[in-house]
Amino acid sequence: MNHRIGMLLVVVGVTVALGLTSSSTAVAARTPFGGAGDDEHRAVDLLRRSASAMRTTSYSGTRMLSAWGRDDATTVLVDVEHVAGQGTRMSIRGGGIAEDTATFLAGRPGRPGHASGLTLEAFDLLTDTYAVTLGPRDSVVGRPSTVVEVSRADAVAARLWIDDRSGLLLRREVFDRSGQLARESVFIDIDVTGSEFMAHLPPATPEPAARGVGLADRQGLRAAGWDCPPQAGIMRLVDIEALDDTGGSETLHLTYSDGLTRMSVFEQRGSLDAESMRGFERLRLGRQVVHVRDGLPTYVMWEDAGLVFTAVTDGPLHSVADMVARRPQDPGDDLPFWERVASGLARLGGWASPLL
Amino acid sequence: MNHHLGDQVAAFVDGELDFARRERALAHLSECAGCRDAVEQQRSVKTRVQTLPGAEPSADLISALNRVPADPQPCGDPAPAHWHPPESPARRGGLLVAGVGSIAAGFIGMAYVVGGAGAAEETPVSPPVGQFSVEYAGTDQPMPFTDPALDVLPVIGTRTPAGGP
Repeated sequence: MNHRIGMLLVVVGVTVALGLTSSSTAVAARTPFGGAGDDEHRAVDLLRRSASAMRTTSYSGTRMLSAWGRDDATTVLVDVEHVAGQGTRMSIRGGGIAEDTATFLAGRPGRPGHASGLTLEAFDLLTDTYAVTLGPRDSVVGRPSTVVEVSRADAVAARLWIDDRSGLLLRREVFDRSGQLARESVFIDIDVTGSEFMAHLPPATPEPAARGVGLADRQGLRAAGWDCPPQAGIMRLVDIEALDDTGGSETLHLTYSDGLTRMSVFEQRGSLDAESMRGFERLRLGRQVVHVRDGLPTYVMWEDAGLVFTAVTDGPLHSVADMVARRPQDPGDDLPFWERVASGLARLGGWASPLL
Repeated sequence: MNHHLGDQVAAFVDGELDFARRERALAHLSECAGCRDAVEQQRSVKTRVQTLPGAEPSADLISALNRVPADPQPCGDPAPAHWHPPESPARRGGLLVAGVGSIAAGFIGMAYVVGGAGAAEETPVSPPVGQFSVEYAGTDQPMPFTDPALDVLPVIGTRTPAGGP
């Protein structure tokens, strides 16, 4: 009990302190230093340095993650120990999590902690989608840092605090389309003195079972009745995988990203079973009725044109809105002519002789 | 404004749309006269097909066929008082082919229209959210500025024993 009260006090205290810092940052952000062109180049260079530091620097500390939904907020504290090249040990508290959450996330290509992870393509995804500019200087947990603003069409999509000394990302804010803070990740304590190889590891995260399909087969999948748009709003389709056994049916796994957040979209043929929507909130998103569980991450389920979609994203709900808003291509549009005629003849036959 | 029903008209008329799609279709029909017309036409076609009588040749057709001479009239014969120019077998054959072709084309067109994939049967699906969370967390997509904890949170409770040293 005392432990819970202690953690609550820590969360409230840090939230108040960060609120004050955010206010000062918001004011200071109106007067970025340097010219616009210089700003952008320097911001890109700083982000490159930071992306590299996230791969090659070991650290330990505590992070606070928060997600603001439509009605409430979720906050968790994460004790983290990261050894470059090996992986990250994490223990999560709060957010209604009661069990022992000590977990090991192995460093893999693509993950921020992996030594050979970041590719030029991944970095370009961010800078292609957004404009990045230098914001004001600030400090996070007493460490001098520089704010990089990520924006699109003059609306700030995110702010990133980069540690001046180590280049590590100390704080990250993501905003929704209305400009409201939707996601935040911030160190409330950090030690960058370097960590040794971790010998005793907690349980690892499960390995995925999907097999790679690749973007090259997108047209073939489309012809087979799957919906694989190359873009979902500003998010770009970056990978396609398949799961052969998900309750007896095949599932397509599409991964989208804008370089800032990512979204997995799982597609199954059929209609959404009402039983599977327990625990989800039913609401209308554009033209569609969807079933949402907002948080870290956010889940959205809906059905359209004979396909059931399940989107999972670390971004705000609006990240999914563009995928929901588009109408999937009707699989009938791609039926070969004579197959469609045969289907129609069968239907006409059924009308003429209902017992057939 | 919702999208037009398109190929789903036939499935709607046959009551084959699932609940959600039927709800959307009904909502759309309440505001789209074009789709209401399409549904009415489809219902009309279905009714006509269902009420077609058995294929019995009419008496007129049998009578006309009986009057067809076995051999063509020789050239130069005087024409009878109510004579109509006889049609050559080639012309009759052409007309027959054209008629059958037209009917077939119309039938194929009708079959194409009602043969959209809206008729496909849809089985109920329960997305395995836990398995999807694992796949989401395990995505090997380079994301330079995300928090690794965001990969762990979805899969707490679905972990396996550590395999590392």
